[in-house]
Amino acid sequence: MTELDRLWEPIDIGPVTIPNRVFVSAHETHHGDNRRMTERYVAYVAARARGGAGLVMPGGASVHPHGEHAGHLPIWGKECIPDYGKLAQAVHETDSKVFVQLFHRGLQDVGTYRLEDWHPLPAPSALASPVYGRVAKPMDDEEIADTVRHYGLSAANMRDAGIDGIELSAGHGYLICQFLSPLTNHRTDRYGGSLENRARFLREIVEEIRRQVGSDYPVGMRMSFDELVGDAGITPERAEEILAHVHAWGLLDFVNVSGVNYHSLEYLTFSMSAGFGVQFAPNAERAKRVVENQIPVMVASGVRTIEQAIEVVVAAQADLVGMTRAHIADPEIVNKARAGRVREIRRCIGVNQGCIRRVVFQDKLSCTINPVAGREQRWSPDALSPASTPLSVLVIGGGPAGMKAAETAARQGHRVQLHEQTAALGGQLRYAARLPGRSNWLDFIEDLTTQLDILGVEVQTGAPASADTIAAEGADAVLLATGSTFDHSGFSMNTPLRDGIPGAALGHVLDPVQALDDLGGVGSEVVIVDDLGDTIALTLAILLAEDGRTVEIVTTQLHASPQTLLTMDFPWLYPRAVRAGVRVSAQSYVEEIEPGRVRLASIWGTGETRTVAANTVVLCMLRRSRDELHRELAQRGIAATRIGDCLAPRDVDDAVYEGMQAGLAPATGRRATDTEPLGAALGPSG
Amino acid sequence: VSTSPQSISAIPGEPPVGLDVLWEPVQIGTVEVRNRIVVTAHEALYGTIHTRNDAMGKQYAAYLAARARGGAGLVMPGGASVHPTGEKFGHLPLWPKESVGQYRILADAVHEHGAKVFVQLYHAGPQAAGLDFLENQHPPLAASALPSPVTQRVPKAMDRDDIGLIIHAYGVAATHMREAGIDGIELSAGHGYLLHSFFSPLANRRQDEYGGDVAGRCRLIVEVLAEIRAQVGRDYPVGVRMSFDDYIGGAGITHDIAQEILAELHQTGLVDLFSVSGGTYPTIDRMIPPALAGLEGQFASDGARARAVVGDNVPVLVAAGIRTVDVAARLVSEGSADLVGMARAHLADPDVVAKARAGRVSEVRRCTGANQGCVRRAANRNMITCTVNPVAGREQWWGTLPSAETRLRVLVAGGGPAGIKAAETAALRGHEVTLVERSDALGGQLRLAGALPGRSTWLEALEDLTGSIERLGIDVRLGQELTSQGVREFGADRVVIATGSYFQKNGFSSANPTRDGIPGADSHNVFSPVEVLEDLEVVGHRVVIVDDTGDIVPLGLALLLAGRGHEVEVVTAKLHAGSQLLWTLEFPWVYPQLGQAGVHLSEQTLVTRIDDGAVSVASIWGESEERTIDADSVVLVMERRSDDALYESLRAAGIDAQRIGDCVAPRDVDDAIYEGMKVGREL
Repeated sequence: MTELDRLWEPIDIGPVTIPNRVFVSAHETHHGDNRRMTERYVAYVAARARGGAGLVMPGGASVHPHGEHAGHLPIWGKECIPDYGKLAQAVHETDSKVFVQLFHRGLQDVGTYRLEDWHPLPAPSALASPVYGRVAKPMDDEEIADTVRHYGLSAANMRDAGIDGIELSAGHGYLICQFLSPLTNHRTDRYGGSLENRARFLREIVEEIRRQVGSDYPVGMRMSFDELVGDAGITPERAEEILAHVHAWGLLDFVNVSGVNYHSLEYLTFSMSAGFGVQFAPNAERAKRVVENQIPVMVASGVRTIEQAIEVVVAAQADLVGMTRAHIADPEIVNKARAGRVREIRRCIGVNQGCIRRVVFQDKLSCTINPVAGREQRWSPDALSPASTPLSVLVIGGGPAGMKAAETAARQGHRVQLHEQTAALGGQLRYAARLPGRSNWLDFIEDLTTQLDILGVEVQTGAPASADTIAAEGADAVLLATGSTFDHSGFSMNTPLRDGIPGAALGHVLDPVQALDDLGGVGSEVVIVDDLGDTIALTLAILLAEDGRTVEIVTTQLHASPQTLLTMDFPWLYPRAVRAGVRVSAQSYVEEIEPGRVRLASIWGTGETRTVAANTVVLCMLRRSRDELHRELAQRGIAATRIGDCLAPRDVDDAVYEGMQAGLAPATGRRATDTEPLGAALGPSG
Repeated sequence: VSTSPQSISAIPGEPPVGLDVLWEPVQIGTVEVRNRIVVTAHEALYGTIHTRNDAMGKQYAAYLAARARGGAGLVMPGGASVHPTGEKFGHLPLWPKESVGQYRILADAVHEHGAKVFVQLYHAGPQAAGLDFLENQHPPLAASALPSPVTQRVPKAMDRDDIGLIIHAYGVAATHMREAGIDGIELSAGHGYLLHSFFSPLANRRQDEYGGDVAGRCRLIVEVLAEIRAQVGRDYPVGVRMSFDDYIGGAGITHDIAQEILAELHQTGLVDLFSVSGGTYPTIDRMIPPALAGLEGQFASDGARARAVVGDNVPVLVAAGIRTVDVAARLVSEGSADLVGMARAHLADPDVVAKARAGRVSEVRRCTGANQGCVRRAANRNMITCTVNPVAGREQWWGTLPSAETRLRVLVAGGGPAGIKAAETAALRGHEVTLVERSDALGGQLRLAGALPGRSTWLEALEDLTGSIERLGIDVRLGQELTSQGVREFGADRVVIATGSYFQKNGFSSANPTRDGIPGADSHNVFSPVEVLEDLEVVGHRVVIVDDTGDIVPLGLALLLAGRGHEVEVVTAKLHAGSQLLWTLEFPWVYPQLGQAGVHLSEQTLVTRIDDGAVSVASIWGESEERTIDADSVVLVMERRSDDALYESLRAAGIDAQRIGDCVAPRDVDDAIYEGMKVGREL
């Protein structure tokens, strides 16, 4: 047996056999609608089961109206049974199993999102969520009993729906965790104080669930083994005591080891900037010792690659390994690995844009590098079957849009050529990958390159294209993915009264690509003008400051890098920048750039202007489409479809999505305008 | 017609003009509107389901029908999307044929009450991220490839094919609305959205015939109007809503440019109504101004300018921040407007017109302009309601107030917003209500909040509440502290406890829970905001305000004290002060004032210790040394605690009581009023 094969050994959770050791943990997708499971949701989860994951879970489901939150579907009422029945049925067309997590937010909410049911937040004590800021109502005995009863109803509903088991959300700062933790449980009654008291709420829930579902139905819990708030909360030592106490009841069939609460969320679905791996594995190992291997121990969070999963299982740190974001990026991880095609796995890069950021905005989850996620119905395997008429397709530009278009078109059976004018594929991502904490972008370029290689795409690098060369190729379809360049004028919609920053044309003013291309040419005193608020300015500042330069970020925004909050990069990057001595002038703009210095002023028109010494200025500002080629082609009457930044400079998510869309149906002749997909969108919204 | 910008005098203290001008019918194209009051287009998010736009339906219809029943002449739901590329969450799609039947529900519900209903045709243009819906991901569209200052997304500069597609979509949408029995349509052409991006010299940098001079920048909307006319004919009312000033100086649309645009559109003869508004992204705080901005009637002079351009041929509507019928009447009588929009005023009280016409203006429940129940909720993708009127959006369930079957004796303890609302609601149902307040005035924390700069509308909300309970003859007892003994002796059938909350003074923060409080917080120079507002003299010259709430209290207090000559420093561990004011659109009005008033801000900073005469602070990132701020007094604006002593003593004594508002869990006034109404309904 190879080490990889250890992952394919079945394992029992209570009376249920899980066919292998890879699972998809509970994660919110907003794929439900109107508080109900949808066909979209079923298709999304089922795709991961078909791809081979042994156990799959949708997002945590709400057990009580006062613990509900947008997206967490209610399951205490019997109406949910047919819906969840469809989910069970879809998963059971494979050998995989499906569990549902029973979820109650406690104080991590506002309680006013549904007009029908505003309510105070129930929690053990009158504390506020660090995220939502609303003080909770300490639960009284009646509320506790009512909540316990709802857990029982919810569990019974899941069993009746054919769901294979349930997991209690008892970590991450949610309701049960709030009771277990001394940080959030300040009660002096029988639900607070001693370990036994703090665990009483959980015990009542588990006993009620067992009354409802019997002893032969898998019931486990997911717990934070470390809240990562020091001694004030649950530490691994306290977690061991809690687990030993709970395990001694003999009522639980598994434990899923996690960490964090709402004060330390950045450690849970951590971004690539965090720069670490399977952080909770050592705690899972501790949990295994506590339960003496009598029940399976699961671990998740940050397992990005199959190699990491193997390590955890081989080292016997856990019995099952969660690969959740990894499965959003590639639902076929297990199938590919079992078939010896590990290098074909599309690796999650932890950029958190397509998943976390969308979910935070209450948009339906997708994936930056896998636009099929959440669109499994539209882009089902059937819909992705090879084209009936193979075309010759010419893709111009080897950034993410062009590579994805070439990959997709080739998979459809088209004959694809990809021309990239520089010496390497990757476009702007190659630069992004040089920034601190951002090297995962290289994995993405590598995975796309592997696909182009396997699919036999004819890639030419160092091959600048012109209208002539394109005309000479005579391809059936031309896809333009020529990207964008940074604007150098200093123009910003936030300072609209001027067409640019005076002095922006001076020689010591660079854009981030130029700075990265020649770091030696960057001076000792650097001002970075950030109009984007994303990772670029912040990571560039870190790179330069850690290299001994004096760096100041100037931004009109209220504070540095607001976009990085939504991807959970901020907690990793911002403190690092501050500690490296990076100075931030927020709510400020550059009045003028002069040789050797920059003059700043407040956006509020108050206070003095300030002069900062700078022998290099980097403008992280507007990008402009490189669409000269498109215009040339249009003049020559050669049809072409623009995708990605050369259509409008946006995120890599858009580039990959549009690459996929164009690659699926390369438009020829008159249809080859980028308006076509817009026209096609005329139909019911969704 | 007066065109002087100074002629509008919607200033408190001026003699009121008669309201009768408001009740004269007015013609909009072929349609007669029965009076001059309009509920303008506003996004309510009814019709959405979770992450999706669903459809116009009963909830929206019931909400607007209540405003029609209350007497408004013309009502409008939120702008509706003409094309997937301009669709945003909440802006329901008009291109599906099914929209005809869905909007007919709305038309029928409004017509039952004699009002007219228009629908605004909306395309977000550059302000749509293009990412809201997985099945409809697309680049934003705009005149030129310049990003939204809010989403930061760079749009695609529309090509000819895009333009043709969008023009066609407007025609389809207009046809659907006419077929649905909607009385007219309005084109959203302001506020930074698609058509505005063509108008604006800032956003429109095109070299082709859709850019350049005013005629070029108006070409798209003129073609849209022509297409709409080709589809719906000349006899269907079509209006245009536009920003008369972008409030970004000479870079954007100014009065002068707006007048040229207006003249260009007017001369087509295709427009039946002009609606004057202002602001773009990011100056949306002009479009839905908070009361503390002091902008009531702000667009009056622009309305007058518009009327000067179009004469009496086409009516002009003015909206945005008009809270009272007095201001509305002044706008009409001074010639600044033919119709007046009062959208938020109607959220607060759907019966504005009916009450005013019956001579009961003093009974109108006034909009506070706090933007909490409406704007802030919409920004967070929650269906809107109203801070002072929880029935808004809940008309289906709470549209009528059933009379009590049995008249009960109800005792309410606590005269803050929760208690007053409970008393009012119970009395309206016919119960016999006694309201006991331990202090010598009603209002609770609302009274103190009303003392903050720019917050006087809280006092109006309080006046409206107390006015109502006076009219209802509720027995109000001030200066009386209730005990469980007192409650028992009173012998009520129902007891409601609304004893509120108090500010903690130990320095504890749930955001930094690993410490029990701030060392030194028990010293004599430390105050709660309530203590300071009750007696401004208690604080010394140099004041440090610890801001753990991010709301108006610490910043309002800072402005108040700075205005009285104190040296003030606000210390907050948050990334910046005033985070809770962003979505009420108050931030741009409050935050800059701090600098002007000389208030010093220390953000991302934690108070580590309070000493006599000084406060020690440190960066939350730990990169620098602790520093000391000289301070005679420290005000801790931090977490509040429920004052549940009475409730607990009743429980111990076995007396049944229901708790509402802050004494359950300290939250917003919205929650207090909601729970007051809920308990009053359910007694």
